[in-house]
Amino acid sequence: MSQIIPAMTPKIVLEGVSYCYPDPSASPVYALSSLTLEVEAGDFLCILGPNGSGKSTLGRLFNALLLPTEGSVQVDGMDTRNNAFLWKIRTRVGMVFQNPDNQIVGTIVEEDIAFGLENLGIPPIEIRARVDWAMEKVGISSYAKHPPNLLSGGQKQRVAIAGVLAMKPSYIVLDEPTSLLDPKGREEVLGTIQELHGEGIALILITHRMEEAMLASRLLVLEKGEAAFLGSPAQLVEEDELLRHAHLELPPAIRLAQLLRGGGIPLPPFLSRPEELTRTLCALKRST
Amino acid sequence: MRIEAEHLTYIYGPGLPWEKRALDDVSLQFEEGEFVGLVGETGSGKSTLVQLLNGLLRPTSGRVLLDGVDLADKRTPIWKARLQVGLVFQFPESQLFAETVAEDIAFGPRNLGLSRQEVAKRVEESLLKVGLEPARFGQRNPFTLSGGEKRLVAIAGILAMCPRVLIVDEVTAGLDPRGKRDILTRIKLLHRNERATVIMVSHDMDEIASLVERVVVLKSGRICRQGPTREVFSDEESLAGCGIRLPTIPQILSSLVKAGWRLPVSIFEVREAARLIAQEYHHGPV
Amino acid sequence: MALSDVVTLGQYIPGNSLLHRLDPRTKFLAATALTILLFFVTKVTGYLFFLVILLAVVTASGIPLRFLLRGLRPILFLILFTFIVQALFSQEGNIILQWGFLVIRDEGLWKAFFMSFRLTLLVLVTTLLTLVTSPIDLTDGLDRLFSFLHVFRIPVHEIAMMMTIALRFIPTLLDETDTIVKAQISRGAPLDRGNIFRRLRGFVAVLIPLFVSAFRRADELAQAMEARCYRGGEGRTRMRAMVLHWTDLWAALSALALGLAALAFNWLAVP
Repeated sequence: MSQIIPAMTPKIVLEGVSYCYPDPSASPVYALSSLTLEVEAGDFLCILGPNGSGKSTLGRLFNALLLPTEGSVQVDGMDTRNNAFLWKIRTRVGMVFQNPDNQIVGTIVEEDIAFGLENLGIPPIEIRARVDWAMEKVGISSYAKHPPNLLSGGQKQRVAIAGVLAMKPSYIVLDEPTSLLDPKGREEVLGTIQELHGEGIALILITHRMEEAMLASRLLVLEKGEAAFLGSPAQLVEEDELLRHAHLELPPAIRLAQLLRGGGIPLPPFLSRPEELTRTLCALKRST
Repeated sequence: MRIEAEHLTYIYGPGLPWEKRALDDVSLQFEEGEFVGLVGETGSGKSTLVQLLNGLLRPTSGRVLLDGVDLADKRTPIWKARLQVGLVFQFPESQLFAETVAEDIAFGPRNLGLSRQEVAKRVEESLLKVGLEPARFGQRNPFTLSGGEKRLVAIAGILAMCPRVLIVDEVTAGLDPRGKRDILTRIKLLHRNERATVIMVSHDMDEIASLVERVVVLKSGRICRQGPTREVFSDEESLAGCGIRLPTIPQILSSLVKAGWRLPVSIFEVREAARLIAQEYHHGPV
Repeated sequence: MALSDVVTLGQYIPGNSLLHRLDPRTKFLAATALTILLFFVTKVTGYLFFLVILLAVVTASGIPLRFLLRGLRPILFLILFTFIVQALFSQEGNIILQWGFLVIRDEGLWKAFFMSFRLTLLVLVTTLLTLVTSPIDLTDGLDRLFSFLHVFRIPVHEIAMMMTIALRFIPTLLDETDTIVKAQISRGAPLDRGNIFRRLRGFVAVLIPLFVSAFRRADELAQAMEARCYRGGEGRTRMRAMVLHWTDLWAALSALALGLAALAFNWLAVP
């Protein structure tokens, strides 16, 4: 088998990917069908869609937790079906899951963050340094020695992020990382992942919260395993028909901005944050 | 049913090194047929309070009265008294255990020792109340349902006890937008059609603002603010002091007011807010 | 009160004594050596010497004696049983008490006393080990100590990993049990009332959801571990280096010396 990594193409490429859960009792049901997609280095892609639309399946195809039934997934030129690349791929593509409780292995925070690095066989001194660095980065150094069950949901989720970050990935897949958190925890986690994106790590955020989706640079809407939309948040906001049958609801601030524009206030076409909206409104009013 | 809580205090692990006063001298009432929102940061005592209201926890001091009868009154056994207050826990689908939806919902009524016919009647009625067709869902395996449907079945399991008060704790947590909307619609209908007293615990202020008539805000085990929804959500500063944010639309209105716009703050309807803002934009002073 | 507050896992009491700081492997080996030696002690002087040493070590560890004695509670019955059996069924020595067919002899009484005393000391030594070593340190230490068994196809690393995961998830599952119990009680589950059959039916309503959830957790955890490149013990390194210090050597030697001294006392003793 070829151990050599093919010519460096820093992106994830999905080509005609279909995935079918093996079900011996019934006829095969496709969770994903013929999806073609690219995620470039430094990208921020958000995957939206109702439960059962294939979001989580897609997330697990990026790092070879699942292998495509048809088509191929290439991570920086490495095919996920090639076993020789498995651990390299999983080091490049980190993954944070929905339930913070079910992804923390260690009985102490820092032990957990070290878990992935230990699996890679990295020398202890370097593990120590990387663990300290990752904890610093996500702001959990002060609970390094705590048992995870004493932490809040947001803190636990940041422990999970630090564990992935310590492996120095180029891409991080986040599968509904905030859906089980309270508003404070959600803010902590969103703050952390935006910082990571700022440092050049590509993010693939799976969510069904539109507020979070608006942070991304590109959106993919899945419906029954098929791509129903791929484009920018500003473009999605205009797709009334799609939003309705994909059961997506625009955040209140965006709906308000749309209504105001309809009411004759010359707002720019896309304002996603409440602060932006008020600032623009005030500026416009002063200039009238 | 009218619930009165008088000077409720609850201490976890009294006398132990990790002793925690979860609730500190809380007195409040819930009137018959009211729809109340209970909000507060994580750890503010909401879950402790609702567990005291249905007798799962015994107060360290103070008492709970249901229609004037003390929950600790020895004349009615506690297990019967507490069934009058139906509590839907967070992620209630994790309590499903039977092979069929109907069997699972029947668990509660059977524990009450009701007749076979009465149990069957209650199963059917409660499925209808949560909007699941009995013929379609009754014989299905609950573990094969979608997340939102599972949660509706779990709620039906509580409704089958015919509680006179319904308490729901973070009832939309973790659901997709459609599942969320289904559940909230059902709860709204339960309140309206069944005249049920509903207490809703939630972190989502938009959800609270769109549904409830009155809001109680807890902070560190004490009542921080309470009153009609519009009143509570009209003052950003005092709410922030309780660790709570305004719902999105009032938040926007509040920042505009701070910039000199003449607008009310506690408007929860997007259309209404848009109308008022446009009016002020076109005709208000600069 | 949450269930996890009542059930304290292991019995570890954090501290910073010499005993706490020793390498878990040293502590484990020393405790094992002492318990083996204990079986060769047969005379009262030997036991007394052993007891004095144990008390001295406990004092040095800063652990309150009552915590140590609490470890005896679960096996109190066993100790009592041993005593009674030995006292009643021994055939040696002079009869000191006879009541129907029950005969108590002086030799038997001594033997009963020694046996139960030996059992008590044994439990105290192991309790002390768990009091001064965190479960995770102990697991880690055992993993490394017995890793050579790998050669005989004994999955030492996997067993240790299983123990670690168990330690990690016990508090989570206790909290979950607590919630499910409360949820079912809210549906009138007869968990705290009625006869045994009614209660059993209630427990089914707790156990099934608990199993369903435990399996879901296991599945998700397995995925998360795989995503973080877990592939068994092969080629794995550890962040925490376990380095044996001079103090470990001294501790091991003194444990051995003390054990032998107890034996010596045993033989020197007047009968």
